[in-house]
Amino acid sequence: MNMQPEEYERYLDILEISPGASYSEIREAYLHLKSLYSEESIVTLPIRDDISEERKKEILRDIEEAYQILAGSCEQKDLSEVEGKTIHLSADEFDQAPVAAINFGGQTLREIRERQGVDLQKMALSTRIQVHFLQRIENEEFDALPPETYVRGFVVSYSQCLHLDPKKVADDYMKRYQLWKKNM
Amino acid sequence: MESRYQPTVHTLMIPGLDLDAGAGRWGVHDPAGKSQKESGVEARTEKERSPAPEIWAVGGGKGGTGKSFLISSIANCLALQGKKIILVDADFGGANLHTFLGVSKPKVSLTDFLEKRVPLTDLVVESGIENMGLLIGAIHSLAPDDMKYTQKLKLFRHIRKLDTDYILLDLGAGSHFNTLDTFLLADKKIIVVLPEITAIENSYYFLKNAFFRQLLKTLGDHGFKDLILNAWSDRETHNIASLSQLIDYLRSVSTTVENIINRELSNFGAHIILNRVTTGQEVVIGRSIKSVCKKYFCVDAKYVGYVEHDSIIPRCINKRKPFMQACPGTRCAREIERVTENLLDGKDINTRI
Repeated sequence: MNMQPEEYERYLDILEISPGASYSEIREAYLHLKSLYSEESIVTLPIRDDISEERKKEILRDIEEAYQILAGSCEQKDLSEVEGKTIHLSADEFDQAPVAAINFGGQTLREIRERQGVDLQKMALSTRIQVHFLQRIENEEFDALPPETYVRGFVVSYSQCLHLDPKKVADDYMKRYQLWKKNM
Repeated sequence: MESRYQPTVHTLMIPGLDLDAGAGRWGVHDPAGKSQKESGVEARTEKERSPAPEIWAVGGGKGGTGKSFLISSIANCLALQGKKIILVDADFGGANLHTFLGVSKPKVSLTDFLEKRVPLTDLVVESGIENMGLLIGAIHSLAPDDMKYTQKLKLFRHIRKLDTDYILLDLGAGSHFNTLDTFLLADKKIIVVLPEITAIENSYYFLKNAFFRQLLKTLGDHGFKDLILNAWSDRETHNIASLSQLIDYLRSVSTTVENIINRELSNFGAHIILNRVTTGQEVVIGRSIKSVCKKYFCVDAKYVGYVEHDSIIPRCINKRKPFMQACPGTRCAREIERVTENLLDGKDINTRI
């Protein structure tokens, strides 16, 4: 997709990100702004009467548009850059993928993480969970992990980092843990 | 505005950095003289005489958000880097910055400057920290807000002339016009906010009032004062209920006015510090406030960082010990150092959750 520089800058400005933002940064900015302007919070509540309803809708529309275009352009770049990878979801399909998945095993989590371009070091920084624990979560090495409550906490942080529904992911993941515990 | 910056030094020293950073001055003040070589001779001669100091001011409307604590700690960080600082307590009615530094209240006060013609430099006292002077802006009067307009202008003029690298202004709470005018003096405008709805609400009021006052001043300088005052007094006929609507209305009046407003909006540049953060989720609030400033008021803001809640801080204050000296290396101290760096560089913190 060929985008005019001014157009690209306008979209970056709307999503409040810098040039060259990765797909995962674009997606993160989009989710942040979408929830900021569609839900009331302590940040927006004090000034909810400051701007009109139409303007609020316009803000959300702009955010949506900027995301679709910027994420779309990222997809195209990914396809041309990464060779040998067969599976490529479009931005839209990818949005649906984690939502549609009901199976959040270690393997699936790893795939989602890699697809978002988040490496374990980066995740360890933002979740403050050590890399070897994150690896064991993905490998489902339950015997090498701390007690159940901690594991659930790790999975919640893990899924928050990838902007997945933490409850949904943890509920499903922990079924595996229960099964392992029963057979122990 | 532009004349403050030295583009030559700037591009040579820190390529590609935001002009807002105002970092060009480092080259001139670098005590080690390292950057003199890097910055080249032309830039040096251009600003041979001591340049005007860079002014930072901290405000934010609500009281008790940690403005004085943060600005005195930031001043401490800068002083430790070898920069010359004068910390000014501009809370004319309730000056207490000396308490944060553990020095006793100076005998001379702003009253001596305003009424007895004592030079402002004579009011600068030792702060107990190397490279850092302290100017207590107390007015010995039971009605400190009575400062006359001419007195205020005189004070501002003399503050700008102080011989130092940085002047850090600590403002009192509230949105009194004296507070706002002092805030607007600054090259870097800092807002301290807590992750609490009332503090956030007050910081919006403060920002809106400050920006309105800036607009009033600039449009007044261009002979448009009546335009903005009339627009506001007839706001019902023009269907104006908020700052952004007022801005929209004024922009539609003429392209000259539109250009002035756009320039003011992009120059205003508030720097947000989120203080007393207790959870990881709260860190994002700073980023959300920044976004709201942009999307609701068209004001470009930067989120320069957050400082976590730590009960050691009030204990340290009560012992009248400067925090950065008493507790170096603590998490809060490192966060304050990062905030200082981001303020110097004009950088936003990257908050990926």
